Amino acid sequence: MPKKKNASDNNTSFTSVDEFYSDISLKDMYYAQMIRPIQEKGIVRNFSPRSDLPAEYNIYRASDVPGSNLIDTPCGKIPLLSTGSISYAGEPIGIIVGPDERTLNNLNEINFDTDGNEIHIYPTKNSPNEIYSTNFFDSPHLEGNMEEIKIISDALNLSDFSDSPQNRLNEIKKMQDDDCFEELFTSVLAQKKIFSGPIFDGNKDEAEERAKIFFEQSPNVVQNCWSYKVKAPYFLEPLGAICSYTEELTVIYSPTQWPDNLRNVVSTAMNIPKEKILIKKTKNFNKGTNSIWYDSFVAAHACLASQKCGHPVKIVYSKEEQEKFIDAMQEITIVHKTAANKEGRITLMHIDIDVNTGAYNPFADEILNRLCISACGCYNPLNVLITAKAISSNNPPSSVNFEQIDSAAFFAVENQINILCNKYNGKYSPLEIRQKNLNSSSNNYGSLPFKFDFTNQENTLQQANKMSSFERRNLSYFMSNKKSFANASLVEKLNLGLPRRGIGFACAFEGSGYLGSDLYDSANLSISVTKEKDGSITIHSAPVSQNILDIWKQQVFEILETKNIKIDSAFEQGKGANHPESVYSNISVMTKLLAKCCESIKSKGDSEGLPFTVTKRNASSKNRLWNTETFSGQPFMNTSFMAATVEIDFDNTTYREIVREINIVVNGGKLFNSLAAKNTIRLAVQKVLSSIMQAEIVECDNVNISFIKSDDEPSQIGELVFQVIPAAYTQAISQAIDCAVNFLPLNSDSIFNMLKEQEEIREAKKITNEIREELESTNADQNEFE
Amino acid sequence: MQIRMNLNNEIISTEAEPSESLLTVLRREKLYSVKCGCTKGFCGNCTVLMNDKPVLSCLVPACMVQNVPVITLEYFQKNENYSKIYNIIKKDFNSVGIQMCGYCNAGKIFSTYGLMKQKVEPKDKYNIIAAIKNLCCCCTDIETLTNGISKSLRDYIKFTSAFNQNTENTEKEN
Repeated sequence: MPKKKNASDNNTSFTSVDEFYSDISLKDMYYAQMIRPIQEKGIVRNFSPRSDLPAEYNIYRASDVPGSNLIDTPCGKIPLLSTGSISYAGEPIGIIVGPDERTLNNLNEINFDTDGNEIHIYPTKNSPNEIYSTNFFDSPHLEGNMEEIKIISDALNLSDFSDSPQNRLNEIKKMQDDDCFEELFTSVLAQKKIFSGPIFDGNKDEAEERAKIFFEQSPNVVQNCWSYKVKAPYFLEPLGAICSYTEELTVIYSPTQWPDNLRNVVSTAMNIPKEKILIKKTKNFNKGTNSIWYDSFVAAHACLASQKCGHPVKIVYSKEEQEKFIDAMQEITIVHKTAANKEGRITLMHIDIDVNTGAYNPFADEILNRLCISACGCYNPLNVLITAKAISSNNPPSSVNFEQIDSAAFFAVENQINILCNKYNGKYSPLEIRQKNLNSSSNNYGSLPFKFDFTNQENTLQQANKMSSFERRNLSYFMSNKKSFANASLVEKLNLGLPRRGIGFACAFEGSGYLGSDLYDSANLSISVTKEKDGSITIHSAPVSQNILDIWKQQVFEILETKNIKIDSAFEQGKGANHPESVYSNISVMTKLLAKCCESIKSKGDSEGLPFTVTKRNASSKNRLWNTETFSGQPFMNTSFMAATVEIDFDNTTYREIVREINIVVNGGKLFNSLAAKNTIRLAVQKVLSSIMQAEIVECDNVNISFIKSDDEPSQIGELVFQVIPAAYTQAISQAIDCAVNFLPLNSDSIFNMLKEQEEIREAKKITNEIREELESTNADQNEFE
Repeated sequence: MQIRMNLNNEIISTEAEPSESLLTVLRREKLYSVKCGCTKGFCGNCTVLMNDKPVLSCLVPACMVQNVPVITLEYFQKNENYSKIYNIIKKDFNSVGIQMCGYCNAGKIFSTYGLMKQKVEPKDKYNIIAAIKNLCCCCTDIETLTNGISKSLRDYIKFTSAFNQNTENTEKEN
């Protein structure tokens, strides 16, 4: 059994520190800031400070990186510091370091020397074919132009070529056949196509054509485009790191969520053996941002600065940097086309997903896979075709939150189901349509290649309906709107005295222990527990929240009857926290493994001699649940389910909505701590309401939460609210104003602008009809005359 | 410019630009309980006591604190005049399940203290929510926080009446 060491032992490579890194101060510490050009794209030839740098202040560039400046990630190479070729406005191109923070702020005004013809010389990332077709590298102005060729070869990170301009140019042209050339120029970072169902017959190439024919023959077809760009506001510690570099040991303080990745990146960039890197993980709450992978880059920046200047260096991102580069969320656009038969059964879902990942995103593949898995939501259509692309753009990398990664997919599909229901003109309610198409063990209608391990969905839907009187209210608002809004003008619609009302319904699942990742192996999650000489219990795990710690302590106490329990987060290299923090699934997976460890310790008693350690990991059979090659099977080890309703009033005078009531029903298996679970859901509701309206917090004083009593295995429930509430909210507004709301976030003018646009379309149609009638009557008169 | 401050009951003189925020000055003095959140005055993470009232230090220019008493959470937790109140708040927050993540502690605790000083009734949920509505707390929801504050207000009333009773008895004996 591996023996876990204390933090003082030389082999320890990871420990945790109960402080925020921004509050830590080391002796003789210097400060560093990133140098960022404002250009969105192009080439920066040179940059320099506006005034002379005082002594002890220095600027470091990509050429100072001792190891590799290009870091390998699953979706391409990402430069630690730009070599001059700019991929997005604010891409770091250098680091300025010095002993005083205030002086540094004044010095960080930099002159950038860019080429006026930059767009001509270094085009935006197009497909390789487009570049070849322009014969760019055959252009006469490049012949013999050493300076220009050098800029391009530096941008492509070609450093070991001969000085002859023609040879360099020939090498660049040869590179066009190379994989990395395509990597540098392509704008599609990842692609996916999934199809299943009788109409496709396994034929990949004709899938779109067959879908098109099927839609033409279907009685009920709806098509909509849904756009999602929601992120919860973040007011906690910005990203940063502290590094103290010496030849013997490099110590890094970082709020890292992925220590293994941090070590790899720093080792690659700085050319340091991994065993010489000690990571001290500081407190962190930064889950919904790029910090999950970019903290490694920031740590490497701090390390570079520390190595060069010979002092410990601290980098703290400003609020603006945090918002623009770490919390940035780019748009996810989902086009849904759905066909259903007369009985309300979905016969075909064609879903096209476009994810704007920003300039770089190591998780492009993962994001796409998860969106594809959740694209059909909780439903099982007869035929399904999903096409998805992750596209890069000249924007900062889009942030990623593994726990809310499928929110956009649920937003689209839940709204789509609601729109589909309108086709039946009140014959079926949104609840009935959902029940008919639910992906459950009792429903063998569909052909979705994904299986989910949730139970009791029907009961959850019924409970949500009962709590909110959804069907009664929905029908009442539907009929009231139909009567009032038919052919009504904007003024007529709004001048109705009483506020308009709407109610939305949505359901979603949250999967934990994702089995399809290429970045980490959920099936190999493990936990170790040591029974010490004094009988106390030590749990070896990455740092966890207080709630989880309380649950674990309770569990250990119930099995081993001891309250002397502590968590040890010090690990030797390669043993311990290798996965990103957010994938540990502490409730659904780690708690179960902990229980197994405790049972094992109990059965061994003291027979083994103290201390001894027990390690438990997931059964290898979990791996067989998901087939990576065919992209099918059971993608999650555990799944929870939620249904919710949102009811709103629409105020005619302010053109704003007021949330009257939110009702939530959760099916998360056995609850360890119902008070903590309820608080988690309430907090999540608060966060999601503060993110669906830009720069405003939507309030709701009436939030009702209920849990389905169950002895099933416990599941993660923390992020269900983010999958469900946005869709229910937009459905409610859509019903109240009789106008589809198909994007989030909204702003205070959104509803007014939508109504105005609808009115303009209505007026235009009215005029068109009048003109047509006039023409027809003129033609009729003419014919009569003749 | 040199700014003379009554910081945590100690007169200090510190170098600061007149327009620099009190938040920046305090963190430079290594008072790290004052956290940098939104820097625009709507998260509450930088709350301190100025003249015994909670204020958002990111909105206070350094020149405004010339000779004004400022108390940060470090001092509030340890000083004998304040620590009893701090312990009441901490105990009651724990009992209702309020998470103290460390980043928004100052906002929660000083807002509660402010309500105590205003003698807000424990049942007056309206005023409690009005005081904490703008705290962007990422670890506790408003309802739980309201319950915790309400409980703290109740216990504070008991504490002050017991304290006043003791004082009266001591005076009578004298």
